[in-house]
Amino acid sequence: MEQTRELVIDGLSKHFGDKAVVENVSLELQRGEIVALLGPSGCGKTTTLRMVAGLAAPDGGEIRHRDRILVSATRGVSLPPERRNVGMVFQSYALWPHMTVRENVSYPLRIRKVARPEIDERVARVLTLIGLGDLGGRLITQLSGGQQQRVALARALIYEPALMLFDEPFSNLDAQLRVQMRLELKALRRKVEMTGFFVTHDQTEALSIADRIAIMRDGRVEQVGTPRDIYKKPATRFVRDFLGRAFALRGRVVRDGGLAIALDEGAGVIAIPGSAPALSGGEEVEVSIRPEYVSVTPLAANAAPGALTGRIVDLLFNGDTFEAHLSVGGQSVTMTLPTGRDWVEGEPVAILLDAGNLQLWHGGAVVPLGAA
Amino acid sequence: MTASAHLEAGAPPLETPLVLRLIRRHGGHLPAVLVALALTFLILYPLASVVYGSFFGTAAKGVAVQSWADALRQPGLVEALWNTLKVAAGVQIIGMPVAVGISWLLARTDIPGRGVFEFGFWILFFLPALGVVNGWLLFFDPTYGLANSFLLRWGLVEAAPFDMYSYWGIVFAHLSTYAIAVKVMLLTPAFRNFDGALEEAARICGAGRVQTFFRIVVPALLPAILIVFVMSLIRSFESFEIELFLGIPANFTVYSTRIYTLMAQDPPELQAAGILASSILMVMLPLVVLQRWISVRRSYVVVTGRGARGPATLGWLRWPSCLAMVLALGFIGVLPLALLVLGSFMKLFGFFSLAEPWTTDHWHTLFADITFSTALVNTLTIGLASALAAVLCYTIVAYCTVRGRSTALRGYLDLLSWLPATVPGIILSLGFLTMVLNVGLLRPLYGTIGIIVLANFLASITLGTQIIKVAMLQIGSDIEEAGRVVGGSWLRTFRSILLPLALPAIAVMAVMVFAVSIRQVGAIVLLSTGQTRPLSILQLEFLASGILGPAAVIGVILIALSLVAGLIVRWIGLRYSVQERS
Repeated sequence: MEQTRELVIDGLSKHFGDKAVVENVSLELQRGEIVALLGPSGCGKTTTLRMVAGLAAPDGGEIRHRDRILVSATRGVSLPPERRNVGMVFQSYALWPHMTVRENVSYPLRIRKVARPEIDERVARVLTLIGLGDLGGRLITQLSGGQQQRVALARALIYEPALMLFDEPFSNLDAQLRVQMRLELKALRRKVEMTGFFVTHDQTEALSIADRIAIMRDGRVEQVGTPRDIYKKPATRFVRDFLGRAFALRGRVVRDGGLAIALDEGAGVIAIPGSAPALSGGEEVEVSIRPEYVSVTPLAANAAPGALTGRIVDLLFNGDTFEAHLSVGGQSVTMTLPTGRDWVEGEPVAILLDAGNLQLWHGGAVVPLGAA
Repeated sequence: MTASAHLEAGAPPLETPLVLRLIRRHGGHLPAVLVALALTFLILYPLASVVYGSFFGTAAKGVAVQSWADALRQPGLVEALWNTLKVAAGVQIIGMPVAVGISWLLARTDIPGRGVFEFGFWILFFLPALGVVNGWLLFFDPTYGLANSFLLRWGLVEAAPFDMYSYWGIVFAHLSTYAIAVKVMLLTPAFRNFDGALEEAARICGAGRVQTFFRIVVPALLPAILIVFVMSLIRSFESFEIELFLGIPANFTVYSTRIYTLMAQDPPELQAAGILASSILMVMLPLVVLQRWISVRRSYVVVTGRGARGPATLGWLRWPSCLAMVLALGFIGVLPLALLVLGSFMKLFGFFSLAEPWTTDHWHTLFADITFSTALVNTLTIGLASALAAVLCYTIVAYCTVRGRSTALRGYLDLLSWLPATVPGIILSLGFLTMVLNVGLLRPLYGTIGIIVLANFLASITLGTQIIKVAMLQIGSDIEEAGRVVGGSWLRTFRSILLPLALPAIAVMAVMVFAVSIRQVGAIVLLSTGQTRPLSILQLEFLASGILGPAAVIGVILIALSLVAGLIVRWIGLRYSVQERS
């Protein structure tokens, strides 16, 4: 696929008083791509989105759409929101309660002085598209949360904006509806080309919706990449822990031919496939891996070679799974265990890590692994 | 060459002239700055000129400028200040506990007819005081009052016990008009929002009902009670017409009536009036600061917003307390109004003993009288013009206060639009008079309806902007932002989204401003002339000169207008209260 650069965010900054809310953020959007801005609350993701929309003014950097400057702090240029041709789905939906569904959705076209018959035709089309075909005459207050969500989407789509901005659009829905809306948005993207940002603090939402994810923390972009890449190969501890669970153990570097990490109390040695010349023997490092690459089995005499040994300390029954708190060489880790077997507290277990998905950490940073 | 390519090439960015950049960057502040400047002048200049006048007097010939100390030695000045405090103390000491008790009954118990009673107090607050007091005269006048003659006839007393024209008469007049009603209006919602779980927790921990009330409920509600108390105290310095009408015959002057008589002299004693006004402003200053401090520190208010649990059950006291409430409201609400209507049809006000006491003469004569019809037209003009000015200006002020770009400016505007509520009407009146006389540009306003409308505009600004502000805060800024993002200009968004949503609140505000303006006395009494005099001032003049029958007619008209206004506000409130976003 040919890549066309649609939007460029270049060194964007925003301060509230002395506090930097967004600090030197640079991002690019390709045509037809949705990038999720993901991070904990207060990380600057919504402020970044609002600066793209023109609802907040940056005090540094600039934003360009194709060859148009939307805002530039250095040049003192700032297009008002209505001239940026963006569509936005607000967290609160921000539907106008004094208008019907049809009036809400047709408002952007009425502003653009589109002819009446065309308005009717386009409204009907977009309402059908989002599955609200027969609710056009309803008042906003007569709709359920999920329906309001759809109207907000329709209102943003109808004028075919160059950019779509989603500001935590599903956070007011219940868990079940949220999953359904994710699916619908995915289906919608097959019918309508969308380029834009999707702000969320829900990592599952970001992983499942976005083409790429930009993880933000304290106003800065921590890592950008495809969902699979940054899930499997997080660049920082923060990204690793924010995106999901990590199975992490500390040990000492052993250089005995190959590279390996030895755990305390004889819990085992983890062989690392690869080299890390920067590490010297005896140094303390952390090994981490996503839990789905870990298998836990009851400790038997014929345990697989290289398996670690541990013990179940606490076992919480969750219905479809167990949440097990294991002790491995004096360190505690949490794992989800299948319910197919009756685990018991105090039981010794063998733990096998999939070597291909290991990451090594030293001093808070990931250690790049070279060829063995 | 495209702009982005330009930047990538590493060339210096195109320089825009500094002035243009400044306007682009700060231009959004301009409307709010202009509004703030205009308000600052309108509010602070009159106050400043009053204080200035207290030191340097007036430019009028023949009036020697004295020092504060000398001027204060004038007979009656200190006494007037002292009397002001006496009235305030009397009204609050009686009014506060009564209002707390009533609010507790209405908000926290299962007394039958709670809603109706609350509405009753609200209506009571809406009634113009002068008409009500005029009605009370039929009951409590020392010579012909029904209560007095009844007690005398049955030999229960030696001499007439009640006298409206006295300190206690004035205190009673305040209590029976707005003093209790306004407190009940403010306290009942606060009490209602009090989280009943606190009460239940205390009961479960083993506290009895009485103990719970005094150890948990009262301390938890103390902040709400405190702020209502401070507001009432500030408001008691506002009172003027009751004291003028009942106090002058009894030789009981307070600072506001003293200012009035000083300014009515020829030549007017501007300096003495200024000294009285400044002294009162100084007394009020700590209260004003305190009120601001409490209300800005939101966290201090206990209103949690969570609905209270089931109300306390009164048991066998349920119906007796309901009856007591009916009697109380009937006595202070319905009785004086009925008496006022009766009085407007009496040949000689209060003399039921005449052979033919009834007549419609007052109505006929008044409606044929050019003075009356001019005043009626003036009243309607002033009411409508003030409401119109309010709609146009308070909406902008409220918008700038809620959505202005600069936090500092928003805070300043908020403070500014709140300040006039704390300035007593008579001082505002005095300030406006000196302002119009001193500022050449405004001098043509002297003696016009315009200056009266302006005074009313300022007197209602706090109430009016508050109503719009609350509505706009409820609308939420994202609703407006959505209008911009989909391609609407600011004006278009304001016109087609914000205005329609705020319309019920704007309508309520317009009607309220109309109602407040047509009964306004204090803020305009020094500004009206024979030509621009509205009904409220004519009524006061009638009352002060003992022309009670025609005064009663005006009272009935003003009360009827106020009642209609009150019902409209209530209707809009009920009809559109679900207008907020779900």
